[in-house]
Amino acid sequence: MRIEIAGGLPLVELRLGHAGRAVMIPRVLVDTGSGSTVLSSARAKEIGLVIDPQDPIRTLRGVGGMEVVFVKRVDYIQVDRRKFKNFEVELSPLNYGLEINGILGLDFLTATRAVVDLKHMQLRFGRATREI
Amino acid sequence: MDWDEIKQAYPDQWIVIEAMEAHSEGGLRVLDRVAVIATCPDGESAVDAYRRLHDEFPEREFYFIHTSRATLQIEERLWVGIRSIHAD
Repeated sequence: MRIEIAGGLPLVELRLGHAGRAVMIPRVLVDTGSGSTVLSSARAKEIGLVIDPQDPIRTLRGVGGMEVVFVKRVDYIQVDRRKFKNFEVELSPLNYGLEINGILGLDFLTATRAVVDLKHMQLRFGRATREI
Repeated sequence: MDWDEIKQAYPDQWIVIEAMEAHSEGGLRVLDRVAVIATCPDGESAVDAYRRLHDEFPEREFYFIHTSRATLQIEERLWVGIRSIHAD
């Protein structure tokens, strides 16, 4: 997967699939500084994935403030040909003053044994840690 | 109001609340005093209302939530995020 640098940040695209529908999500930040994976709730809504009353709610607190997200277990997230099934994502009405649609966090990157190759600007994957 | 009072006053409804007093404890964000800011017809509009309020008043602490939930359980996660490089 080609890493695109935009505004000084590394971006990739991924595919979000759930309940028989899927959507390509461009401009997702590769972020080893984020423990979890966050996606735009607006993009998720395009495949009918919206908040339910009992979805867990989390608050992400950091240097720049706080953000509330809701949590969904989705059928899969796919980057390039690497598909991670039954993956927990945080959905947020992202608005970071940047044109990004999500954050690919350390949970996905670790489980897929990702290699961020900044010489060749490629995101590659090693052998997976579990069936994905 | 506490959560049980809110559940009684706004049964089975999407709302946006503001934490007037809150603290962090054992991986949870505990809201000690809560005000109801808005009632919403569905979850998406609650998320939208939260978004607008959060944009306008970034220093205040808002949440979207449905009153059918038994408890006001909010997990907390620290995040060294990209927001920091854009903080004014």
